[in-house]
Amino acid sequence: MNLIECHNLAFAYGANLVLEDVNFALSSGDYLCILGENGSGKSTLVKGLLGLKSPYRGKISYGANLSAKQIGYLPQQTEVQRDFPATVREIVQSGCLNSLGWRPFYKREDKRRAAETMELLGISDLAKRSFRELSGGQQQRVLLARALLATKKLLLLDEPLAGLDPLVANDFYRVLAEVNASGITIIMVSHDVHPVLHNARKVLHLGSKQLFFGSAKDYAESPLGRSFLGLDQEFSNV
Amino acid sequence: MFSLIREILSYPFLARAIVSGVLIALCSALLGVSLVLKRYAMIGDGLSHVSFGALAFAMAVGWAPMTFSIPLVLLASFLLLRLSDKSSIRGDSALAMISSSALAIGVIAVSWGRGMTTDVCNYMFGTILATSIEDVKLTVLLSSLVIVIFIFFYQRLFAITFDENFARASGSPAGFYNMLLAALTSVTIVIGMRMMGALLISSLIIFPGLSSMRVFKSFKSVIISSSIISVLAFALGFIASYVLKTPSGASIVIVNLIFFIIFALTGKLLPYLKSPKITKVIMKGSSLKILLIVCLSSALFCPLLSSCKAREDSSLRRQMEAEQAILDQKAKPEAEQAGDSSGQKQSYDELIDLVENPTEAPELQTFEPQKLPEIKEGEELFIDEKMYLGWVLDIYTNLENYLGKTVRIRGMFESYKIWSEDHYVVYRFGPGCCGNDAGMCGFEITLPEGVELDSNQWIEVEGVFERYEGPDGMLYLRINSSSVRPLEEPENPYTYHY
Repeated sequence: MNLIECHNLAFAYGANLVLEDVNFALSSGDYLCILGENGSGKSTLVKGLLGLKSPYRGKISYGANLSAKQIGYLPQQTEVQRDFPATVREIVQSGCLNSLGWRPFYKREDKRRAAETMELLGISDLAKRSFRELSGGQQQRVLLARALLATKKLLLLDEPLAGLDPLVANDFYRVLAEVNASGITIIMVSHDVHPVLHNARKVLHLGSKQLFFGSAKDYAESPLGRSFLGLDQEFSNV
Repeated sequence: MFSLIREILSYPFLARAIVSGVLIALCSALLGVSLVLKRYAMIGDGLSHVSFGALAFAMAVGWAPMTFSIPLVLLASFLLLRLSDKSSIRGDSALAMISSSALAIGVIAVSWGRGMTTDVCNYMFGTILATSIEDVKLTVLLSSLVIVIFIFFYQRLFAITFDENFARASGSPAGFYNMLLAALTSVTIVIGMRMMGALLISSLIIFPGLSSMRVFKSFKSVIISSSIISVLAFALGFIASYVLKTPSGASIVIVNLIFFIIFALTGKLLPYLKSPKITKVIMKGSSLKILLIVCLSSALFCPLLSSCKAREDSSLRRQMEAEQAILDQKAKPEAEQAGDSSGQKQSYDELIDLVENPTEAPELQTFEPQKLPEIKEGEELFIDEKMYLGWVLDIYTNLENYLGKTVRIRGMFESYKIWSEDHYVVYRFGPGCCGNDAGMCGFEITLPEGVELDSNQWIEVEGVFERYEGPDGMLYLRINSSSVRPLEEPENPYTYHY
């Protein structure tokens, strides 16, 4: 049973078609990396998968057991968040929003889960700190903790590592690999090719339409993948 | 300070204004934090203009202002939300467009219904006066509802404020919560308009949250701190407006501005004080913050309040002096008075001088404070210089509370021929709306047998409020006088004390 299936998917802003011919399927436990240059439609696809933007045509179907309430999402940093008065604990706890039901405040069980997740990501000692005082790497961990609390099945990450130094990034990938190993499906959008290929099992390459979909191994051997990787290497040599 | 508060609370209309004011301050502080963080602050401003237009229109057409404008403003708030989310016109321009259109509609509506300019003026700049008891009840009901709903949805509102996309992606009805926020804001603005005025209400929403964010770092502490600031700023502004005779809405905004300065300073100073030595030896971070705020607040507010108090005392003494001088003058034989008038004047100036330098004249400290006007069962109501307009407006607005009560009022006498009979009034000149500085404000009276008075003679009337039916079938209010005695003209015949 596939977790997500996209069939002839296309997205448009007004009359401008930004992405078309997207066809892929993911099964439970997959680790997909969505690659592509700026403006290739990566973030649009993520918004579509999250239900924040409706497709221009085509269809996204979710597996029988997946509902929006089981998707965790790690967004790109937005401007509003940078000076927001909120402690780490408050933000992580808001990942439990869906388990609130009709109660006004969180149960003890939710608080325990939040504490455990913070422990898992090594941010327990930051619990009382203000989010806006944290470093970029710490902030992304906090948002990851929140996303993990919100999901048991699917985690969507939109350029989670933009602007972070490689050391922090490696650490982050290690945590993601652990999360994936525990059975959670991961979809990650990234510019950053190499580390992704170390962990990701599948690759979707976009350039206004679907240019490649397949296993990470096939991608590394395909002409498209080689040129994308090669370009990247030239850049890093400069 | 406490006697001052007791004095304010002794006016029934001021006590009512305080109850609704505190609740409105609380509502706007709670909502304000989210509005500021979501960059929706200007929506509050736009809504207040829409609210003004709706109220003015309702009054011109003769509909109940609150019940008409609340649904309309709700509608406008949803429209503004949509505009700021997705629109071909940019959000801020759209907002400016809607605000000025609503204001224009309001102004045109005002020009239709000529007779209610004072009321409209009040909605523009705010007044604590002339609120009916029904309005206060509605305000208490609605604002309690806003507070309860806010607390219930606190966690959800935090989530959509911090990161709307995340909340939406994980299946929360973020659109609904946004609308809830807009709806609560609309209600708060409509009920707060009366007190703060269309032009000032948005500051009540923006300031407390902004101030708190200078110092506090968690959402919860910002919410709690803004609630406290907002209520305190309301109380201080209200007291200042009473003592200094300034408009209440504007005074509250100024106190909020002072709080903002205090919090901004605290925020700047904190890092210097937070060296590990100090925090370890003296106290933890949060108590340090609070201590710093309290220190700065007292440094700024204490001189302010004491100067208020000094001004209040000196104006009170001056007034009593003037009364004393008049009484003295009366006590003297007329011939002596004529010969001595220059001397009298000099001694009066001397007295004023002494009042302003109390250290040189300690005996002046012993003056009794002015008798507090209180309205209790069986006691009479005394309407003098203080709160003249306040009393008159409240008596007309909440008539049922005053019918049958005994009143003593000072003002000028005038007689009119209406329905070919003589009618008499006691009145004072007071501020009207929009440049009209000598509106007449007072009551119709009856004259006891055998009393003859000239126009513009100053009088003190004692009598009972009663209603009578005129030949046109309408009900009118008058004072059935038991005594009318002539007075000297006071130092300042013009009243502007709210």
